[in-house]
Amino acid sequence: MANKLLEVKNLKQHFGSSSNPIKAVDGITFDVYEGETLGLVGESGCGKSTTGRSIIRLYDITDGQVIFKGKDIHASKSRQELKEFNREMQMIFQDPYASLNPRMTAGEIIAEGFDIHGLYKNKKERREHIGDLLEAVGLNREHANRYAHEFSGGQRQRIGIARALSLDPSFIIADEPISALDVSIQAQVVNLLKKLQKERNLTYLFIAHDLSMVKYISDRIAVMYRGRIVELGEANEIYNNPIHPYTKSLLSAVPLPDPLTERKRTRIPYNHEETTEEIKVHEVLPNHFVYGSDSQIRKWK
Amino acid sequence: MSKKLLEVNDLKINFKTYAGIVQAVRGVSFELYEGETLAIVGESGSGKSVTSNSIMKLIPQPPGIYAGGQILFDGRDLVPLSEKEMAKVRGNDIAMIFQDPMTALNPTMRVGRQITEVILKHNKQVSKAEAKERAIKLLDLVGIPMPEKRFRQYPHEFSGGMRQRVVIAIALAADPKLLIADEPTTALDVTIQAQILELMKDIQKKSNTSIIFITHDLGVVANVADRVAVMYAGQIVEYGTVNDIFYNPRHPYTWGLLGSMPDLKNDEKEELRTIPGSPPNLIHPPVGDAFAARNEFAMAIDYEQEPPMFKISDTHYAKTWLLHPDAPEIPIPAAVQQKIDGYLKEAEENGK
Repeated sequence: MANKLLEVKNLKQHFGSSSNPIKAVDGITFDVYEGETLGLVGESGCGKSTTGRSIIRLYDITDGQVIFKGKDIHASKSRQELKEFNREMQMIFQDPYASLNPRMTAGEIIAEGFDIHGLYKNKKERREHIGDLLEAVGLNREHANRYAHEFSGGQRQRIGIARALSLDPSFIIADEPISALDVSIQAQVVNLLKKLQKERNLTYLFIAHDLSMVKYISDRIAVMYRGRIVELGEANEIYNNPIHPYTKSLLSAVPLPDPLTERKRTRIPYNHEETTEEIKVHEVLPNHFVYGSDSQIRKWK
Repeated sequence: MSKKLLEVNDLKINFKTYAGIVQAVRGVSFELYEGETLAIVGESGSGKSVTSNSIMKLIPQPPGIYAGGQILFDGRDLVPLSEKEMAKVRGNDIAMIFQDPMTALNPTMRVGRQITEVILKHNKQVSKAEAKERAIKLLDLVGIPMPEKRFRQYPHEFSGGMRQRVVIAIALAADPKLLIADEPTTALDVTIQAQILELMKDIQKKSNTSIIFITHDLGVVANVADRVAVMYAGQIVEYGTVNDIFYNPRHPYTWGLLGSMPDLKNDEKEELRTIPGSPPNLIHPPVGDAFAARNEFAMAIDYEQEPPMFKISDTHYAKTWLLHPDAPEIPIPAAVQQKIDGYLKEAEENGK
């Protein structure tokens, strides 16, 4: 079994007033192992993006712990430690149109990270490295001098990926990295992410709402609903043997490129049932976790 | 045989820009029968939205130019109609559902009034009270619970899926014969998307409306469409029934689209097929087949001469030189064929 790279323990992220908080993330616990891709799915507003942003410290968390490589990342840190952490963990954003500064060239965008961290002594070395990164993501060295508007959506997302790679991180949070792209371009970007993972031994937290793509790229999948993880397990297991009714409902709604099955599709609606019993995480099968009360789990099985 | 409602013949739309004239739609022809759903699929920039907007004459002129072709609606050509005449067609005969329900509604107006406004505008004999009654019925029809209460609320009090239902209710307010839905579910979650698709199919069954459905999601196409037009670089490159397109695709671009979607049923993790490169610049459309540069099966003639629409069957056409009798036999790529075989086999097993 691979090492745990990231441990999230009872993470809570509440917004708004303390008397009437919006519980965007309400106590989630999961681990991410080295070299794997963990997919995080759920509908909009379920807290999946908030989870990603809390892990990378874009938000100060309300409660809980995030432990990365054995260190609590939300504990107070010296400037030096913070820099170390930032090098290890990077993010790829959803919208390649909004996440690149229009006044900077692709080269400047990619190099910003290593300028801050003072990684390269001379200009030649810096230029070399920008070129290497551009080539790693399937662009040309010459693209370094162009501005963001001169690139297509897919190419921009490649720049976003090159920027995330620039500090040689071990963990990348990809927040809906392909939702804004065309189908044919989505496949290019996903193949690139897989290739880079193999070459650089990267670990991904892949956040998305497109279930077919998540299943394709992930080793394990966590399904979120209303700020909680309701089901977690191996990707194939989740798809072939979903147990939580919300997961079943979600899977029954994914349209497939197959007209014969589509005409017979029956959607399973999900009705959230409140229960007074204690709700906790059950390991229903090895490495397959479901969130619910004892009696609910028995019924769902 | 049902009646032919819409016939688009060799439609050409250009846009004047500083860089030059963009040929956004380059000779598109299709027809639509009553009660039928046509899906138009393609990437962004393929001209699918321009085609649908042009049917409603929503292309601003300038910079848009209707450079040629006909749009025959119920036998009448819409292209030469004046703005005043068009205003009668819009809403009454043809209505549109837009992609983003967040921006398609007026945030300062109660939802009910946004619906009665349409009813009153299109039918002068209706009283205000009658219009309200109809609007509440419409809200009920599109599956909004407590329509009387919802009638008095503002758009911000609705969720995304509920707003899209309101947009559909507005589109249906004047009983249109043709509904154009431009990516109506793209901004929605899958569970909500499934509900909206069911709703649209339901309404179609009840009122025999024809629907043009624009999307880039092939799963959605398989769900709603009777016929499919695949667009690339301003042209329809493959046209056929939904079964033709999904089980017997003949254009390499369609192969690419089908191959680039991961398969939920398949547990194997082979690399996704991609379509290399990006779509051509339509200010200077390439000579020959517009798809040639991205086509791994491209032949010399693809760079010289534009292929015609080859007929494969009475319902199925594709625009590629690969279908010419002299072209080498190119089978459907193995990965795509495998998926199709899998689907067909499963359908057969379920049928037993």
